[in-house]
Amino acid sequence: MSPETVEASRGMMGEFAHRLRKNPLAVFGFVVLSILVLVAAFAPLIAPYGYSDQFLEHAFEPPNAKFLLGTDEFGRDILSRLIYGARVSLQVGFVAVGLALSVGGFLGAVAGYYGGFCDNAIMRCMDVLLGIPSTLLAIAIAASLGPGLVNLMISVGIAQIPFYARIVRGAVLSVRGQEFVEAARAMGSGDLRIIFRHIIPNSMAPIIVQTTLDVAYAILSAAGLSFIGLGVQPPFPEWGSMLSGGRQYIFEAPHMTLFPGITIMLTILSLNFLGDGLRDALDPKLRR
Amino acid sequence: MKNSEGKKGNILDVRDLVIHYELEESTVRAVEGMSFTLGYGETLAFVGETGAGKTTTALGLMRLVPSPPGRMVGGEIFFEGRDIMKASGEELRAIRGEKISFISQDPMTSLNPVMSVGSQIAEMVVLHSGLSMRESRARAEEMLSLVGIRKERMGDYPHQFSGGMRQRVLIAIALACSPALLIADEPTSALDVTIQAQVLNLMKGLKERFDTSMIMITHDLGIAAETCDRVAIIYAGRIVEMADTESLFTEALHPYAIGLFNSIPRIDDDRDLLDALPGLMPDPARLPQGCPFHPRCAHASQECENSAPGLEDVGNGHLLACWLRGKRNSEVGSVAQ
Repeated sequence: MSPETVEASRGMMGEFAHRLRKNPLAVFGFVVLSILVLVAAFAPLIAPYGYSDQFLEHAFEPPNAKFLLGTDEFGRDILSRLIYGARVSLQVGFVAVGLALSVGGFLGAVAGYYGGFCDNAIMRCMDVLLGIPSTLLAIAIAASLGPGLVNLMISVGIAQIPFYARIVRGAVLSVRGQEFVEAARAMGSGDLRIIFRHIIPNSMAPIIVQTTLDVAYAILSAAGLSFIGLGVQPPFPEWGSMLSGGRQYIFEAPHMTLFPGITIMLTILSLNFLGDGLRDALDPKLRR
Repeated sequence: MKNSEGKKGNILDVRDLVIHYELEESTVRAVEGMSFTLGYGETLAFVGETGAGKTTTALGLMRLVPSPPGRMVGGEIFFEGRDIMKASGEELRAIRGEKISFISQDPMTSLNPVMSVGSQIAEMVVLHSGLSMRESRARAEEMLSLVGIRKERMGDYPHQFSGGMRQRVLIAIALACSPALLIADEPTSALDVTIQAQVLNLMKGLKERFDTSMIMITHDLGIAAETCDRVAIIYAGRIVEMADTESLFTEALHPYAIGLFNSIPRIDDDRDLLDALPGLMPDPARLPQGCPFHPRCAHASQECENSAPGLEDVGNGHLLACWLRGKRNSEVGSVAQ
């Protein structure tokens, strides 16, 4: 990265961070997410037990001093499994959205910038993808690729591509006609340079917001896929599969479904708060 | 650095340039057979009303007319001996910015709002010079101080600058690669009067320093008189009169040019109403037959309605497109009083 892009982002980011700080909910979301990221990164250090350590004599124990969130049917510590599960969920969330953003973003940018036939061809393909409910699409892709973490990320990512293509295309369309783009062309800039140096940086606001909201959606659909057995395979813990594993014992050991559920809810909520905060901070019209 | 040293002749030779905007129902004839030349180091003014085709001509010179709907229908543009009409996309990108630079009319929207001004000047240098980013930034600092902005402001963003300052930044960008030809599209019309004078003086000084040829597009005859060597009066996509500034301002020959001069208020003249030209410029999608000015011309004859006059030399390089050119002393001259 050249020194001047760093400088540019600092100027923008400074003002933006200041506005974000004024929103307590966004700050809450940001803090929770930061903690989750740290927990996932340092899982082996933080988790009291390994994710597959079985204490069969302690099976179905409710929360107590030894197992803070209780144990499951094999006597595995739920807290430890949630901590390791954060790795999967966050990875799936960010990688899937990253995939969707890069592919969908590229397609959208090309469609919006060149317009005409190219625009029609790309966007009609996206419309076809949009016609299929995205959860069903992800299930179909995951089923054909087979279960597993990487396939989970790919299937959730592909299902999100058309949303990004639409958003980026719209953003590019609104910037493309502006005079500084004409000026860049008069400077002798090529198309790629115009797209990446002038158009994309000016259409970041809706993209950033959509990304944060979609990370939540990706985590949720990954949990959904794991719930029906198409995601991460046991014994590795995934929030969705923990939830699904606990549902047979929901009356005897409600903590087995309660805590994964609360974790998922908290994560999604934080991402949504952060996304809302980002939208307010980036959109001058919504500024209070 | 000197662009014109030891070079004679014309940097730019435009012949019969025709540019249309082809809309669904109609064709807008924005530029209809424009021919002119520009010498090395010379400044030419394009003067005309809004919609006369000044900006389209300028964009056409760089092949930047938005297409569709714009179409370069015909003509030749020889820039330093090369026909721009036949240049490839890559050649065009190399010419734009490096050889021909463009300053657009609105400094408020012509700068990228999320890039620091220093980066925007440096980008122009990086694009054309092959210098490293560090060297380009040094060049950008130099350009910034040349246009009278402290180099400490390199990292500031466009919204932190006033209109006049932004126009200076645009000038710095345009001149960063010392282009051979600078096209300025109403560079001062978005600025207030005191800043206008500053910016014009700056451009004049820098043009001499870099020895750049210039096309100044304006609707202000005062600006043309102050900054330009020659003036072309443009009406409905055509040059109707072109001469060196002094002879045009002392003896304008075309009825339209005369009308323009008469519509300027004079400080030594006490009157309530200015002599405005009657009527409006014709819709370029429905140009009248013959001379496009004849419906508004007080001297129009049958000849004017039938065919359009060509641009011809009436002596000393004074070019005129009017059927009345032979009778100017007896008839039209009296209007110019």
